[in-house]
Amino acid sequence: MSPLARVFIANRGEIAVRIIRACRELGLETVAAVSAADQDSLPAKMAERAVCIGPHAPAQSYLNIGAIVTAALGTGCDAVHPGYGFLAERPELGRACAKHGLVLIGPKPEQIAWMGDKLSARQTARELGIPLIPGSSMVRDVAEALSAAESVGYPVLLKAAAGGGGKGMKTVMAPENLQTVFLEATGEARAAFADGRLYLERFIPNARHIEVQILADAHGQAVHLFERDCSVQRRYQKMIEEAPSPVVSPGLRAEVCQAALRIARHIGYESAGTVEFVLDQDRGEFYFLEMNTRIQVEHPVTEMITGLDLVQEQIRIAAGEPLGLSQEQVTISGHAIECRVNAELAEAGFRPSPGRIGQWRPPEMEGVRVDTHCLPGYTVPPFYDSLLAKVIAVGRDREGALARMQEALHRFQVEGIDTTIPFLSSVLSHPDFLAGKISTRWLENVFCAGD
Amino acid sequence: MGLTQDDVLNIMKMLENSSFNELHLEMGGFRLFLSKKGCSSAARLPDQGAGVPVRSVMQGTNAGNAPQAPAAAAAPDSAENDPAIPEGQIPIKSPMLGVFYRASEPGARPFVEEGSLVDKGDTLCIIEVMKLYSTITAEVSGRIAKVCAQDGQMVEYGQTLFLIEPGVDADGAQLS
Repeated sequence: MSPLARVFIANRGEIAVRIIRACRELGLETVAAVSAADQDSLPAKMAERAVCIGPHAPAQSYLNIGAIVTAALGTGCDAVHPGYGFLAERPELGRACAKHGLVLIGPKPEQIAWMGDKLSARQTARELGIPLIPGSSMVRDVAEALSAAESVGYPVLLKAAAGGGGKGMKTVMAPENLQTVFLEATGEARAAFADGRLYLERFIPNARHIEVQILADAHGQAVHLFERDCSVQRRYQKMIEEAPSPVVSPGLRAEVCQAALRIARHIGYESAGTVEFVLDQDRGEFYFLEMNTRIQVEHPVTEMITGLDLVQEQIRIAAGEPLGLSQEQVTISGHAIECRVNAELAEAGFRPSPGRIGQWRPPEMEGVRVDTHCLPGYTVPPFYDSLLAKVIAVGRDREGALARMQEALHRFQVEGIDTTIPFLSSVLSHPDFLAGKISTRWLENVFCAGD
Repeated sequence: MGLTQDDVLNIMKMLENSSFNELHLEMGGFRLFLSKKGCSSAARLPDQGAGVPVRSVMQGTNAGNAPQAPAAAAAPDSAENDPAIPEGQIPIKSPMLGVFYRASEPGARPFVEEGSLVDKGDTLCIIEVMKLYSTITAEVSGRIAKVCAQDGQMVEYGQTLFLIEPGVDADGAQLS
């Protein structure tokens, strides 16, 4: 494969900025796709060129494969980076790119499709002997769901086969609730993914979200970059992530990392990817959850403890280069924490607060990194997600990273819109979080309930 | 290349000592852009940049009239770089990003020329997005004052394609 020269950025916000930086460091030119609402955005200013691909509505801009491929070709790009969200896990984008001679910086369409379907992903894990949360295959109707729930044992979690991001996911406490919840989940799954298929799993009350970062090249080499712990969640949306996990033992770490590598190797995965697991803290067992075939929002915590640049690695892999490192060369150094600063008012049920930012002063401190697309005077448009910035703090150990993060949040000054900075700060100082004694339900059931 | 390195250095000196801020020079396939104040946005992408394959978005169409330079160089930066609109004229903006075609097929007569009189609803051009062709029609009756986009080139969402002088019907009569 010929080396790449010019990359089309088919995304917006902080990840567009992140990708432009990685391209620059690799000596690649960039063209940023922008909607009409993002024409004055930081990625538009940073890229060699910005192209207005459509109006503010994502369906006509950031989700518009025709416009993206046409714009990439029309600006002489040879590769497309989809970032996360939007088209990142749509095999159609990779197919359209391949058809027109563009390199998609990500896995192959068939790998995205294989892992994107939760039922086929579970089937693969089962064949490889990787533990799964006890659950069913597809449940076609309420009667099938009732009998499956009976054998799995209540409470159960109904999940969308095409799912992600918590959509179409519902807890069922007892058989008498199942019919209502089944219909709700089907409707939600249909609305979100145009696919109403559901399956169910045993509900694990004391769970942690553990995910393993992997890198795999086109020459059959794959390495893992250890785990991230993303258990501070609200409605299945991650808020605080850290690496390594404060509760994963060396033995368990080796097990989950090897399980993630087995899946990546089995499907011939090529790119950066993440295999997600649920850790049942009561039983000390982990189960395969799903695989995300993209760069993830929380990738910086892994970068901070391994010293690797995941986006650059992703681009090199897409250019056909072999991984420049062996598993022995990937080591953990210190501890990293990431806080997602959103334009939301936590006290008002996390109500989104778009609008014009007046003062914007991110912390400038040693051991603290801020990934953002915001600037003083920037107007946060109401059409997209509410992520403003990711604050990443690294320390020699967890305590050191936490202390730095607290100080960084304290110094972070934003005026004009509401942000989650005060909320994040209070989560970080809670004794349960400090002690690492939390689960994925903790934020909603304990922290928010206790206010 | 039509110029030697010394020629370019001389031109740079001439610009330096002149009262102008920018210089654009085109000689056949050769282009030179000089600016006293850093880069202008429209010219930042080098045409011959780093061995990038020059892709024509017009593959299979209009082969005899293929653009010499990559489309990147010719397309304006964004809608905000639109030319100033003279009084009495209104812009027809592109409703989508795509490739702009002035005629129904290669070699055919353009739908409109500068000075053409059009009725509301008349076809002005075609925009192609991955083999999907959309017809753009006149929103008002009038005279085409200016064709602002180049045949076969990519146009952005919101980019001005034509300037139209309304109030003139197809027979050339002034509408009251």
